[in-house]
Amino acid sequence: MTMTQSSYFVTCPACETSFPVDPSRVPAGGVRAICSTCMRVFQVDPPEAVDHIPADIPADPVAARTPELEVQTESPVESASAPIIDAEVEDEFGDAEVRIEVDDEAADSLDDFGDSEFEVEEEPQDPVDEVEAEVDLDEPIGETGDEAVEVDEAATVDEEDIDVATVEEEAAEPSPVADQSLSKAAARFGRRDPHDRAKRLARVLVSDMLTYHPAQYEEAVSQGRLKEEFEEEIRLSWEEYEEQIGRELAESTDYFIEALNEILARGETLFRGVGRPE
Amino acid sequence: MSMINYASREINCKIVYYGTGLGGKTTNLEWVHSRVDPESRGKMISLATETDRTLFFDFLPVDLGSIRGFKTRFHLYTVPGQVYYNASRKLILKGVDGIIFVADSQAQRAEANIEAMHNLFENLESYGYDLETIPFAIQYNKRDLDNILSVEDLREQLNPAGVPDFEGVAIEGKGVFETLRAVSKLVVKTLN
Repeated sequence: MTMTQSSYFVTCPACETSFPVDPSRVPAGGVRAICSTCMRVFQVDPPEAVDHIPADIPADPVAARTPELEVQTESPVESASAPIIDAEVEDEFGDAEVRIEVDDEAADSLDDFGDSEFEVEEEPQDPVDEVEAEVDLDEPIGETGDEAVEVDEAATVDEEDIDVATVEEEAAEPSPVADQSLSKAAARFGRRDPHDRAKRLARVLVSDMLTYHPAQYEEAVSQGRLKEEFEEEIRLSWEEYEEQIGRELAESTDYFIEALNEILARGETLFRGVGRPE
Repeated sequence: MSMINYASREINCKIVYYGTGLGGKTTNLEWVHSRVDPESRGKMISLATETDRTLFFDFLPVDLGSIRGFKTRFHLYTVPGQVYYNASRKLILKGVDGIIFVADSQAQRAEANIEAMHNLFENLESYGYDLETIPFAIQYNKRDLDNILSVEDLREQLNPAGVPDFEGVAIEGKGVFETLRAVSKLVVKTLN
């Protein structure tokens, strides 16, 4: 971690873990960050506004949509690792990255884990010949904040052949997995005719209503109360539909209405018109 | 993207389970969590709505070997599959190192699978991620159910690039570690 003199600290409003932040990486409007300790999403404002961060900021658009989020802890085992700012924060702060060179043997050692064995190797079986790391990470500093200044990669990395290079913010070079030819998949997925996209999105949004609420659906059908019982689902789905394909296309076509009638209403014309369902 | 925590001497990698709603993403994660050494795993955290309809994400660090004294810690995430939670899906993809797409093999979910795959590519592209550099594997889940598509059909629909793919019955653990292993190996290689 590199602490610059101009770094300032932000504190997770949920668990109060402090993180040093380079102000040059926080845009004027601030950024959203995920606390890696408790996973709370919170707003990080530029330094001049930091004193005004409210204690309980709406987490993000998702949290705003689902205001009653609950945190459930299912395992009593605590992570032994020191807290870190998660990748979301890191990216927002400037695409910091880490590069480690490993050989195939090291990668193949991953074959050792499986259904019954997912063990930790305390020592490397075949030490790699060269490890290169490039970092520009601001790491959290725990409760007190005092540790931050002491965490310096040059000081803490004592492996003789680990070379801490200068900060680099350019994209990593293409890796060997480019051989997967994912570009072919990219050509097929992700780029599509807006109308085809709208039709499929509408159908899948409506299909989700049945998939996630099968009992409620059957009851609503039997009672003839589909519109009423699924009003909220329809509203949420329409909002997402409109956001993804754009208001103009959403409002000017009947794709969403068609999907509601075909899938939700089982072929009956329960919904009419174009655009937003009535 | 991967990051090093020098204080704890760990390389941290983020793997995201993506796919259609109720396709088995969380089941995969739960199986892994239940089988790994309790000493090497962290807490699994789920953020769910009041109706327990949608998991926001799960978090599962898993230590996996060490490279020159640095342990490799994998952080496994699921995304909410229901289509209208795209904002959180997109958020969770930030900084991803590897992706496992869990497809629902049931014929009636074919369209949802395809939409989810489109959505994955669109969300990655919105971040400017280079799809050729992100380790990626597909699991055709629920192979034990009736009315499922053949693997050949699923492959034709979802895997034109021929990335590593596996059959799965996640609820029984079948294919779970095979899929994770494939992506983990690719992730370690991309640390180059």
